[in-house]
Amino acid sequence: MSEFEQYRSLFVAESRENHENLVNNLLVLEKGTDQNAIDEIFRSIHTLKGASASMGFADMERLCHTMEDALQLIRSGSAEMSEDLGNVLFSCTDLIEEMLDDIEAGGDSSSKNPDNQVQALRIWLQQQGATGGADKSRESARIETELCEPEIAPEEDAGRGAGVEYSMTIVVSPDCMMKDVRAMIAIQNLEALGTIRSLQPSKEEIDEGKFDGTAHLTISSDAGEEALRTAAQGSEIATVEIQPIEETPVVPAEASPGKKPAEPDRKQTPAADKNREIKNLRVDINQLDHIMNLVEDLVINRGRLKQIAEERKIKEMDEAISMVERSVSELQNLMMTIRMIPLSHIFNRLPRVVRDVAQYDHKEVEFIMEGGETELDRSVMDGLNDPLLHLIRNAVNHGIEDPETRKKAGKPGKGLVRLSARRDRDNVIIQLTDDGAGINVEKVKKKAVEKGLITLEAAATLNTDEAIDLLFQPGFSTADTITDISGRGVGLDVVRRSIESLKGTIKVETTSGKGSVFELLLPPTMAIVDVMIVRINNKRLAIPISSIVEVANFKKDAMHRIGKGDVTLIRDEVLQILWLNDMVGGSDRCEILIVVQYQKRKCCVPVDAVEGKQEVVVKPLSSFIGTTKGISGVTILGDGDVVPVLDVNTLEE
Amino acid sequence: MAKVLIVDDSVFMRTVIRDMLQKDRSLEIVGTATNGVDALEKIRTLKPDLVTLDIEMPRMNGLEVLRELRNAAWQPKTIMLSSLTSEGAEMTTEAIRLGADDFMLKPKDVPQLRLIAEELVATIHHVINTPPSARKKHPVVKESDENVERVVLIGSSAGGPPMLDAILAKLPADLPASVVITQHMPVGFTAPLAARFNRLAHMPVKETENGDLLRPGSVLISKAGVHTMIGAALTVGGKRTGRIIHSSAPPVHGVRPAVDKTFESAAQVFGKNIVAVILSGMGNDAGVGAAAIKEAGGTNIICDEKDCLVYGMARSAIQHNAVDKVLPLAKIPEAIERIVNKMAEESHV
Repeated sequence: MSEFEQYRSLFVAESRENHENLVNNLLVLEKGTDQNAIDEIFRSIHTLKGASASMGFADMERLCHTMEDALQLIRSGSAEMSEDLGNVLFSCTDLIEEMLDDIEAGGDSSSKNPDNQVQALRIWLQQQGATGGADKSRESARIETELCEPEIAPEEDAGRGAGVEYSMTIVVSPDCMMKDVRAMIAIQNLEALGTIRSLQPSKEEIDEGKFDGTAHLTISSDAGEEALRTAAQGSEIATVEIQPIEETPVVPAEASPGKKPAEPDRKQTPAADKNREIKNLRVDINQLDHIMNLVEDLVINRGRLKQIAEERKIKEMDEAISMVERSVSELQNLMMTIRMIPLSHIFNRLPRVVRDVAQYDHKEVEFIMEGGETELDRSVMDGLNDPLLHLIRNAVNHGIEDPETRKKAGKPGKGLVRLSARRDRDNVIIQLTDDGAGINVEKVKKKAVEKGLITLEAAATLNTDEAIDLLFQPGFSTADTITDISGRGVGLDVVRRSIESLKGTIKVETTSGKGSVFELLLPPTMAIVDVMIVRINNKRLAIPISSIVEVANFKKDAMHRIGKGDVTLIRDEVLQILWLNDMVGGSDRCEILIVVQYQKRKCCVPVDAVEGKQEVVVKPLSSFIGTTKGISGVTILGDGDVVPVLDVNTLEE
Repeated sequence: MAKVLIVDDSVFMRTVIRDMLQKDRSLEIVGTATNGVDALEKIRTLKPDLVTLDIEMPRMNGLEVLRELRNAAWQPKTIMLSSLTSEGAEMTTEAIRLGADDFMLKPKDVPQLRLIAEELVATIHHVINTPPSARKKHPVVKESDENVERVVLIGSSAGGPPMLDAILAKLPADLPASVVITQHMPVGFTAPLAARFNRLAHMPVKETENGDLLRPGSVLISKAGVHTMIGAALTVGGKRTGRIIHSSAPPVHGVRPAVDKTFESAAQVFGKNIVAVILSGMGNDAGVGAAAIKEAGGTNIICDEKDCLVYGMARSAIQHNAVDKVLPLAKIPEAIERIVNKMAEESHV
């Protein structure tokens, strides 16, 4: 069995890839015939089938096989992709995914029965067969089902003659010389194929020469009509008539390709084989988080130890610590990589969502995804799934108009939803763009007034951004009716809260009639960040390196006052100066400017001194502190000092 | 040390195949390729002795590779690794026509891998050691009314095809008997098998069709998916001969065609004028059939255990006390010829 286990993870990895490719190309195919998609589908399903056969996962092989049969009709052009077929095929791919999950967890997928899906496909195939064309693939499906497990097929050959009963009439050519010999040969051949129940004239009578050239007989045989006909035919046999007799329970061999009694054995084998080596483990995310916490503690304590060693100048300890340091770094990196997964992990489910919502709403939507390879920490990913799902549903449900409305507005009937992700410095930016109606600001204001969120007067003074911000207020929903798809009582406020709990931000831009852009900005990992430790007024602050553009000398004479704020000129750029007096108290010894950037906006923070760069663990602030604009959390430095970590994103507000 | 290149678009398959071949010290895996274009490039640079070739691949499929190879400077031996589908079978037949040296089914059921691995390794050695066959013209089975009085029946299963190669390559074109081979194969794959044998054998080889008359000096391969039974037939001239009857009765011993079905039915028709040969194979097919032949006065030969990958079918014949001769593979063609000729002499006396 070790050989088997050795291939399990390889099998799962490759099959998942093929499964995804299959789903995505099915989605393409659903939009219309696409040769490339068909080719891709066939290649994926072919490989899936081959690999599952190699691994001995017969159910999966059977499922893939039936799917292939159905798709063959699409490929040959004798049937068309329909919504119904699409739904069946997607339920198949869902099942394949479940099977892969089971296999990955060490199972053999036998708990996932594909009978319903296979049956649904067979029914579809039969319907197509009624309109012609499917016979060949049905036939091959039958034969191959039978041949899939030749070694464990039961010995069901015992009952010769237990087959179908036929009545036959054999007529020998009238001008034939040895009529009786011809007839006897035919009868002998037939006897080899089944049991002759009655014969007129009898063998004895034929032997005695009482044969006028026509023999009537009934035979029960399982060899099939063709075989019987061939056995009776020969030179100088004029006609052979053959007719199945109906009364006997007609069980044509074709009708029973199904389950084999040997099946239970297959299920027992793996159960008896529990002691096999497992190379892949599924780890509870909580345990992973716990390990991560311990690693964070180690990082903090490593810093403390290092500091102690430096202060006390203990040479031996220095060496020991550098060893510990190396291990801790490695452990930390390992943990980080274990936790990083590509966004495609959640992205790849979204085309299905878009399809389902569009189908439900009778809308036409083209969905494009980019940047699925961008990696995110697992916990960020987990928290991102629901908000993203919600936004995507919103985009199709509220954003994209129905085809008629779109055409009236001079847009193509098919709406476009684009989801893209990219790494921008130390952030991951996810953008969801639709070319729908955009957000109707007036409608939003009206609704907010109706709901009592703001007063009529206040509404009049709101600018677009402020109005859009209303969308994120609790209890706001613009959907006219509550549907299954979106608007399940959770609004964008929940989305925003989820994103903010991931230390991310959400931003909306909308153009009436042109569409909206939702932009999520997320840290790729929540836990460990590179920061610059600075000192203002003898207090220490940590600024994430990811948001620092440059460090410059602060020339007081280059500072100018414009309106309520101070600005300075750096590299021909006018930058606002953000005094952190509210946070750490005023200082007049500021000599250095830290230029920070949030997206496109830059500003600078004056500090007294820069202490250095350090990797720290950011601990979130407890929720009872409330919103802390400008601070994303605190970190504990090596000497035990608790230092706030600056959050440049919210600092400017 | 034979150099092997593995071509398959699935990394899973490549790994499985590579692991299978690595167990044999005399094979050196010089590389892997993921599509036809890649394969041609690697064949050119790595100069492998043999290529295992997948059929369905992106960019360039296995059949196109074979077409390209016909004009290539370096021409390795090729073994097709085919999928168990009707389409796969058709493409395999095409591949053989295009010059592929042999084919095998893609490994199924990794738990049973050892046997598959042995068979693949054996096939590779066999193909490498077989001199390039003169690509002779497709001989057409003569449409004569010649009747056949003697049959050579061969029953074979896992590990059998290379043995059949060896036997068919030595049987003369004018063998005064008809040869019917029942080889366990998935549906569709007896056609490429017949096409391959047709290239190697001196006699014309074809897959059986329902109603085919047996003719001397020709070879029929039982079509998979049905049982090949041999019925009696009379020629126009009134001479007794045999006819192929395809029976769709349920599989016997889990297989269809079953050797037992062919052997038993032939025993009724040809009686003592039968030479039956049982080669390598799993299971206990052929035992009952051999017993029927023995009872009818025919001769049963089984191949020596050392030449068989699996000895199940032969052992079944032994258990039925039906074996006349146990011969090493190399001696079998000669023995067939001798016995058939002796039968012919006796019938003329």
